[in-house]
Amino acid sequence: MKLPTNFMGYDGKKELEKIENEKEPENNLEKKVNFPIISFSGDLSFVTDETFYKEIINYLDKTFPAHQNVLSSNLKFESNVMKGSNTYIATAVDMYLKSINSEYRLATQLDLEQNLKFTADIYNDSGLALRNLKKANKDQAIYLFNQLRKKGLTEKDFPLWFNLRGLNLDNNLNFNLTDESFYKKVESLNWKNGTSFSKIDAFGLPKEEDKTSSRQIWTSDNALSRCYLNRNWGLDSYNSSLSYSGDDGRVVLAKPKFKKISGGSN
Amino acid sequence: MKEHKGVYQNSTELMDLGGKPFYMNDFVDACLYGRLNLFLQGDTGSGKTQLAKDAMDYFQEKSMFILGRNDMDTRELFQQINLEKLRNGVSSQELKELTDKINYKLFVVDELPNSVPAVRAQLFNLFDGFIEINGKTYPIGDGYSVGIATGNIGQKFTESNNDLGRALKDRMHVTIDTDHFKPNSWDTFNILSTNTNPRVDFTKKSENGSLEKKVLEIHNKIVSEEIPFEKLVVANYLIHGLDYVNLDGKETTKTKLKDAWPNAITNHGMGSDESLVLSVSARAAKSILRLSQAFDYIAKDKGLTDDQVKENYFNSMMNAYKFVGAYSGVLNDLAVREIYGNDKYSAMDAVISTTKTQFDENAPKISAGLEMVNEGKKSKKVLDRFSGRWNFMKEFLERASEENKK
Repeated sequence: MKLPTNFMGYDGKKELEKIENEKEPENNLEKKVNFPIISFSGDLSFVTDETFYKEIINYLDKTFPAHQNVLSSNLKFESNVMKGSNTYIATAVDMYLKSINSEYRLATQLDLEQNLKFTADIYNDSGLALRNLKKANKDQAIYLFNQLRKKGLTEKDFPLWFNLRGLNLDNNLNFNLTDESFYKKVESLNWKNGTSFSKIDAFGLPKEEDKTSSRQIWTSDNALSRCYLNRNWGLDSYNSSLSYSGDDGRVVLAKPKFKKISGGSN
Repeated sequence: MKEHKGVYQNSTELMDLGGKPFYMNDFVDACLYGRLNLFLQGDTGSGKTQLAKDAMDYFQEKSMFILGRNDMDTRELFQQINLEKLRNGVSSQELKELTDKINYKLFVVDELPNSVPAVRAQLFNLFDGFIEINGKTYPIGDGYSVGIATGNIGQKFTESNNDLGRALKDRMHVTIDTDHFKPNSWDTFNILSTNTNPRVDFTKKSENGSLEKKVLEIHNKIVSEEIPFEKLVVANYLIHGLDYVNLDGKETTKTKLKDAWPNAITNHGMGSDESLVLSVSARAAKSILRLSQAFDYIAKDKGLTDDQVKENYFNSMMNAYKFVGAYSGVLNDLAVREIYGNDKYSAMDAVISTTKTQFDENAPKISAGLEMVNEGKKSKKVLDRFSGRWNFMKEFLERASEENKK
């Protein structure tokens, strides 16, 4: 049986070599429960300590007992790293880090942009895009927007970007603003699906169109979309499936470089 | 079709392929090229009959128009298609000779839901190229026949116990809600300024002559072409990948859950396709592939190069999936109502978004897997990359590498 040599533009030979030459991460973990994170690359890291992974699972199951399917069941510890990520997992892990006063927090889009190589071939949830109150995920969008309405925002302020870091989930997995929440009107979230960009703004989001760049932003008209840095370093902000988690997903942690940004900002 | 300018006007885009917009008449062409039965669902007066009439112009005397009425019986239907002799007791041989003479290529049934079930069943048979008499089936024509039906059955589509809805899902390959893609104001200004006759004019014949030969040539080209492997992977994802469910850590399929789907998927995140959509049947997958091939042909006709068409295989398949799937009964109607404002196309867009993510993430692994098979290897490292809804790909690659070793 002769099959094609590439698939959707990927060269089979190169991809096969990449997998075959991949080395298992060395198991040289620090075993400190509250400072468990290793594999530094700049300020970014994955969850690479199994004890810490188990603590996360324990926190998720105890805090959100009705949502194991969305949260803990989507995570696994394999090849010395925690695999899996979705919007809820990333937010809940950040809640946990905050609760234990860890020096790490969930990486923001800006954090991820500082070291793109660190996240090669994986995807990392970092934000939410609120575009309207009518289409996919409208219930979650309305819940979130009602909190902003009280702060004086209107639908004219759409599209809005939210960092997952600093959001809180309630028992129904609704997103709640905290004093650490960061949100901002970001025009690029309404760019044409697939627009290329290279420059980013002060928050790590696409700044201007650059047709020569291979990086693209993917958009949609969902009410609320998950946002993540995809495996090709594009910014996916089109996906309405907030809970899908794949083996390629990684929760990325970062040591915040500067003081927390509090409150909303346009 | 470039060679034929129909009366129907609608410049509302239904989809885009490589920057080429597709309109309602392109969809009719795609269904004719792919020999896929098309149901035009929509409100009265929305132009569906005119659209179907334009398609009849392609085949001229080899097309037949039937108006669905609840007082029409099969005898009258047979009279319409010159099979009235059937009632006089003829031999099987004579019957075959009679049915062979029926050489209609296109059957257009206006207001199909008005027909009684027995007539409806025979109409569907005609669409599919045969007629059933006394439990025996007799082919009609010479291999190509297709049907376009119109009607407005609205909510009945969503009632699983509704005979009509079920029959339409079983026998019509593509359904388009024409109300969703109404002509825009530019079109209606044009339509109303040139013609105020509210009737569809069946007396006016096309000046272009029959385009039957061209349609059949395109059809033969489409069905004889090899299906690109990328499309086969997409089709298999829709059959197997979308069937996968993880219930509290236990892997199963929606097929096995039967009526327990989607209720068995509790506490699953809002927006997940696990509780939103069922997998497609192998039959629906064939329709999706066929429609996608027809889309590609039309896109090329509109100016795309072979390479551009190739780059858009995934998009072409997703668009075909959207229009075959939306009214095929795969969507969770409750979720569509509550989350997507009862808009099936929006729900399909959400499933397509997730599917795109899945393919973005897994395409490199798939290409590695294909190379593995071509090199005659069987690498655990590669195969282990496929899990969950991608188990089907692991199975395929394992089997393919074993076949290559033989």
